[in-house]
Amino acid sequence: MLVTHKLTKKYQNFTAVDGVDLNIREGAIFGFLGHNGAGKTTTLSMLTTLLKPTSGSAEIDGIDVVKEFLKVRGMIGYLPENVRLYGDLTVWENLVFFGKLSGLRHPGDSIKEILKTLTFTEWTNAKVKTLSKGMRQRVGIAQAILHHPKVLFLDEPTSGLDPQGTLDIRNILLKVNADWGTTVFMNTHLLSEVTKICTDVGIISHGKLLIAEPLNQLEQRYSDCKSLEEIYFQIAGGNEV
Amino acid sequence: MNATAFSVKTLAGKEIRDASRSRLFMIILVMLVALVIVSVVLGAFQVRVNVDSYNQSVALLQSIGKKNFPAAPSMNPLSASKSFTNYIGMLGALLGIVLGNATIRREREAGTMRLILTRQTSRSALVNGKTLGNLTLLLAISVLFYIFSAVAVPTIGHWSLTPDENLRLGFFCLIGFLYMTFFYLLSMMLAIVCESYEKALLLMVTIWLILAFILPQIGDTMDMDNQISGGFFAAMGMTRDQEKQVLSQFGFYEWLRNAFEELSPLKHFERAGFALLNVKPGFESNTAWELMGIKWWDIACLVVPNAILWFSATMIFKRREDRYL
Repeated sequence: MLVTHKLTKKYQNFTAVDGVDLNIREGAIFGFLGHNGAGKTTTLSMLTTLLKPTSGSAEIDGIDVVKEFLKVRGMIGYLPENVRLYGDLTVWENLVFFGKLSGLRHPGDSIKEILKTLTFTEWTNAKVKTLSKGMRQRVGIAQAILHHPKVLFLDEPTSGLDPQGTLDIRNILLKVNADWGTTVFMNTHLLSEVTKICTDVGIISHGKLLIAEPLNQLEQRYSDCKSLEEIYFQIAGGNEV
Repeated sequence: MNATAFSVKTLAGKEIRDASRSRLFMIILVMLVALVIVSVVLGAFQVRVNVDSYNQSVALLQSIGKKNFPAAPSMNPLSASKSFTNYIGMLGALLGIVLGNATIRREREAGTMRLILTRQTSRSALVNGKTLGNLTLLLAISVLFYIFSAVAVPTIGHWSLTPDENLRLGFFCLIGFLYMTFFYLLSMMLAIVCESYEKALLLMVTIWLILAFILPQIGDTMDMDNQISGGFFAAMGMTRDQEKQVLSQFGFYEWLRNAFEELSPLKHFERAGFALLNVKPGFESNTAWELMGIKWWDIACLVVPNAILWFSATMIFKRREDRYL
């Protein structure tokens, strides 16, 4: 579903992402781990067509993310870190706007369905600026999945959320993955989240991909480690995530 | 409608909604509308006074048995819209500046640029959608002013506009729209190019002052004919040919003066506008279409920079991929 080949992004003398090769299968929930500044967000930005790679290539469902970026955009959903929507608009107005930009001519029905799925219907007419962070994050997810994307990209989706908010987001992702078969690509710092929902995991450090494989396979290979945290530190080095 | 056109339409619609919710935009718009209404109403009343005065003279002559009446004086009902030029020159340009600066700024400050650019919306569609929305607003304002003038002169001034006068008024409003568009596009372009939006706005206001006030003022001050009220050459009792002969002695000076004026979009708007409204003498016998041909240079001096600015803004926004995320 998602394949990259020697994906590289350079900023003058600095290489942010260095020859990343990924192959993520359809329906996977892929957790992308790494220290701050490891290259996670830059990789995600290239995969979501926001940045052009300096070299290498990436394909989603066989479609090149650079050459046919508009087609790719029609297939993906994206939730940036600390999603910010239009505060002065209501939840409904925000979702109509992003739904239309996602190609939905009449997004009303789709919005109703999503808000019901997210148990968020009572907030439909609330202005986004009046919502808590956890609620805004739910609206953020709603705008990302309105058009039933094939791949959903999330950048630190549970960052800064309380335990209930984190649980809600986790359940939504599992539901979307189970019901629609959506492949999920998730940047995260939280190893506990990865163990709870991810089927596959990748670790990036200093722009280089160190490992990318199914989580159970990784745990078998590092069976001497007590937790994913230990595995992570063994692979990525350092003493903090 | 394909996906890109649909995105452009969606973005344009949102721009119009956002502008209607912008306090600064609404304040400037209300000021502009108020000034235009007052000036058109006063202008229309002036036309009415002239018409009534002529009718009273005719009635008086009739009452004393005269059968030959003087020809009706030239009323120039279009002069009721003369003050438009000043208001659009100042507040219309400001409207364009405010819209142009806010259009990209809004997305960046709201943090929504990333969300928009991962939709089926290309970078050029984003710029085009926003420009289309804002230009629709400016066009709507121009059309509103046209309708108001076209209605006010017959109803208040008691003077029906001929189809050609209507067309002249329409063309005048269209040129006003082109003038406002220039400032919108320049402001948007600076907002895209500059590191900070405050810097872009400051730079834009400085450019506005230079283009709309300082350069025309220099041109006017340097104009020999403007040195005496009523005109220097007229005061000297010189004919048009004599005036031309004198000016030919100051070739470089006149070239320089003209160059200052040519650099100002306001001057081009005024030159074409005053001819269309019959404020500048010598164009009374021309039709509206003829005037568009006569004033083609001034119109081109608004259209061509607009096209260049639109194209440049789109290209720069496309190339600086990580700048606005």
